[in-house]
Parts: sequence; C-alpha cells; structure tokens
Amino acid sequence: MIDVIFKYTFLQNAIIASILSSIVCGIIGTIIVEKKLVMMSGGIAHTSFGGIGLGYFLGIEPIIGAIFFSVLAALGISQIGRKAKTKSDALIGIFWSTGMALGIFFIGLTPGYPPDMTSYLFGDILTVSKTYLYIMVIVTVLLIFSILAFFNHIRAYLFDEEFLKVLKIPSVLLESFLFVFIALSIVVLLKVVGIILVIALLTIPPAISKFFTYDFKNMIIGSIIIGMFLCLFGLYISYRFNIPSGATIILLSSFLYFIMVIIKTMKKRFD
Amino acid sequence: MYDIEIKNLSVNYDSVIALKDINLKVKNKEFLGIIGPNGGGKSTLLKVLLGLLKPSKGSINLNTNKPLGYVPQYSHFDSEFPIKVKDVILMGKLTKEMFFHRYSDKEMKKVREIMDAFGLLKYQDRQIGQLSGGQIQKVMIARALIMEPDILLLDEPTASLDSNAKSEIYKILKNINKDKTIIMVSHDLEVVSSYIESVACLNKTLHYHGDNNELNKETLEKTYGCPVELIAHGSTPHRVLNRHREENND
Repeated sequence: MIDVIFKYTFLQNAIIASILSSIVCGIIGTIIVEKKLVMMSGGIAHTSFGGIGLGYFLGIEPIIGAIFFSVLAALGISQIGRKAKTKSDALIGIFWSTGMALGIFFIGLTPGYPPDMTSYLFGDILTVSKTYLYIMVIVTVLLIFSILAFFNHIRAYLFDEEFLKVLKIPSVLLESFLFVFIALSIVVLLKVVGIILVIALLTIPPAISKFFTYDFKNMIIGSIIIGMFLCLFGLYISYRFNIPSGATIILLSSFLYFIMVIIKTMKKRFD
Repeated sequence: MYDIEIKNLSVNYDSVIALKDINLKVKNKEFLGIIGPNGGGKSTLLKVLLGLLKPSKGSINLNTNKPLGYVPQYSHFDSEFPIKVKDVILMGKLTKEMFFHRYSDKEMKKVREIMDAFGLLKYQDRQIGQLSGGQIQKVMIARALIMEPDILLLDEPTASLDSNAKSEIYKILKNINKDKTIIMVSHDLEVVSSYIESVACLNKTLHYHGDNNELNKETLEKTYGCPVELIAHGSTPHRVLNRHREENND
C-alpha cells in the first residue's frame, strides 16, 4: 500500500483530503450534534445542490455556487426562524427542497450534455483536485483558528445561549459566525463524501467520541481521531476491493458506531 | 431607596398580552417572591428585567451598574451537554472580549472558593448532568453569584426538588440576601414561607404584598383563577397575606 501511495498523486490527495475532512468533521460535527443542528446541516447540504447547478449553468466552479447557496441557507434558516413564526424544522424543509429543485432547474437550463451530478451526491475522494485541496486547507486552518480563538464563548453559546444574552454578549453574532462555518464545512465535505453522506460523517465520529468523554474539548479531539481512522481505513478498503470510497467510509463508520453501542450495552448489563 | 422601579409595564407577544400595566418597586436587599399560575407572565417579567425582551409599554429603572445575576429554569438547558461543573460556573465571568478569551487565575480562584462554599468542589470536574437536581441548582446559583451582581433573579429554583434540597436552596438564598436583592419566581406555594420578605401575585397583572400583609384564599384564587388549597404544616412557618384592594376584572 505504502509504495502505491508514493506512486499515485490521486491517492496522496485522497489521504490529505481524508485528514482535513476528519478535522473539519470533528469540530463542526461535535458542535452540530450538541446544539441539535443535524437536520439543519442536512438542509444546508441539500440547499447547496442549487448552487452546484447554478455553477454549471454560469460556467463557474460549482463549489463557488455551493458555498454561496449554503451560506445563504445557513443564515436564512437562522434569521427567518427568528423573525417569522415558521418552525425551524419546516424552514429546513423549505430550503432543502427549494435548493434541490433549483439544482435540477439550473442543470436543465444548462446547454449541452448534462454534467455528472453523482460525484456531488455521493462524493468521490479519489477525484479531489489540487485546487480543491487548497480550499480545504484554508477552511480547515480558519476553522481551527476560530475554535481556539472563541472556544470559551462557543462552548457557552452551545450550552446556554440565553445566559450569554444576560451577560450582554452578542450571541447572535456568534451564532451567525458558527452557522457560516457549518455551511463552509459542509461544502468542503461535499466533494469528499457527497451531499447524502455529509451528515453521517458529521454525526458518527462525535457520537462514538461521546462514549469515551464528557468534556467538550476532548469530544472534539476524539471525533477528529476517530474520523481520521474511519476515513483512512475506509479509503484502504475501498482501494483494496475497488468499491466506492464515500459509501465505504460511511458504512464502516456506522458499523463501528453500532459495535460501540453493543459493547456499551453489554458492559452495562455486566456491571 | 429602590433597586428596581417598574412603571406601567406591559408586554405583548403579537396579540397576546403577557403582562399588563405592572407597577413594582423593589427595595434594596428585599427578598421578593413572585407567585402565580403557569402562563401568568412570571418568566416574562424576569426576561424583561434581564433585557432579553423589550417592553411594549412602560419603563424599568434598574438602580445598579452591575449585570443582573440570573438563575434560569432547571429545564432550560441540555444537561447532557459535555461541560464540566467548573466550566459552567466560569461562564459567569465571560465578557464581550471574545478573541482568545481565557479565564484569569483570580477568576479561577474565585470559582474554587464559591464551589467550596457550596460543597461542589469534589464535583468540579464532573459533567453537569451527573449531579443531582439540588446540586445543579447550586451550580446555577454559583454561576449567577460569580457575576457579582447586586440583584439576583431566580426562575423556579426549587421546582422538581425534594423538600430537603429545597430548604437547602432557601438557606443559601437567605444567606445571599444579606447583601443582595433577590427576586424569585415560583408557582410553588411553599415559597410563601418565612424565608421570603414580600410576595407579589402575578397573573398578567400584579398585586404586591408588603411586609405586614397576609395571604388569603380569595387572593390566591384570584391569581390562580381556580380554587386553591392552602395547606399549612405544623413545622412549616407560613403566613397569610391580605386581599388585593383593587378588583381584577380580566
């Protein structure tokens, strides 16, 4: 395996992409799981499909369109949810379906042979380009910097945002900032595991990590390590047996999660 | 000398009136209990005081330049959240300075002192949800006290606690009351006990009972809108307040 890695650039890219997405998933995943924003993240991921369609239609890099749409969705869901009397659950549904419909709409309007959308739906880590890797590096570095810079406030916001308001700390600003980062991270993950499987990679490592720790910081670190293991091992299996990489990583992740649940239940019974 | 002066305060949620024409003066170091039924506007009143809600009408004067200490309802936060007891209390020391904010040694020391005083020191590294209900309430009170407020607001601090934990919380509050003004909201009639100096009944409108008043059955029935059974246990100090003077026509 090792000599193969040195031989093929696409494998090197895939490994770097795996490590970067594990870091992003560990941080953002822990945040969305603990703030119960998993459905919202699903909504953002699917809304970005509209941006990908728009990208193809305008002839620009689809990821740029996806970033635009996902940030808009993240801020839209939080802002409209605060002002209008629509439940955020319903709002997520509205953005979700509208984004998907816009994606189909723009692809339909694009002249010529329709582009292959499955790589955005299911992802393909083996086709990650150099440019895309640079985007991922920038987002990952920004994310790590932000979580370190605002750690105390982010944790406090996630635990009890009303109390921040009592302290006259601008929690809405913090929320918008976090939501933009969630959106950016989802776009970063899009190419790696695809829209459909983004949610699994965001939720499963933190869920496994929570079996081991009750501390927010350790949960993030644990999620990152577990994510890296799952991504790299999944990549190996997918390369070895020539099966789709995204699906392999996710199936491996959920398999590990259920194993952990069983171990945990057994342990409780014998204690 | 009043710490809080509320004048003609009304709060509406869209077309629903939550609070109507509230007038209230709270003296320095007063211990005020606000009782009333669910949906009577008790939490709303606290939220307006804290600046979390804007009044539709009227004014609030706070005679303090420090932030108000606040103890939210027990069910308000997710007790499964991965945060340690000491980190919850330290939240009270957060400021607008968000960029690379770190707690100072002085703040850490202060938190240790208060945990020690509340018997929480041995739980400092536990996840918040692993504590008992009474201990969690103590953590919340500690978090509010670490803000060093002049005025402390509490939203149902003893709901869902057993009577031992309840009286322990009241003892703590009584002690805090020596140098701080306390407003405590509750729908628990037991709070109308000897710990509390004055009582206000809130059901959209407010009726204040000062020191020498007595609470009677009719008053409570008017506030709660249903017959109320007043049970006085022999060992529980209790008192009865006077009837509201003005008629409540709502």
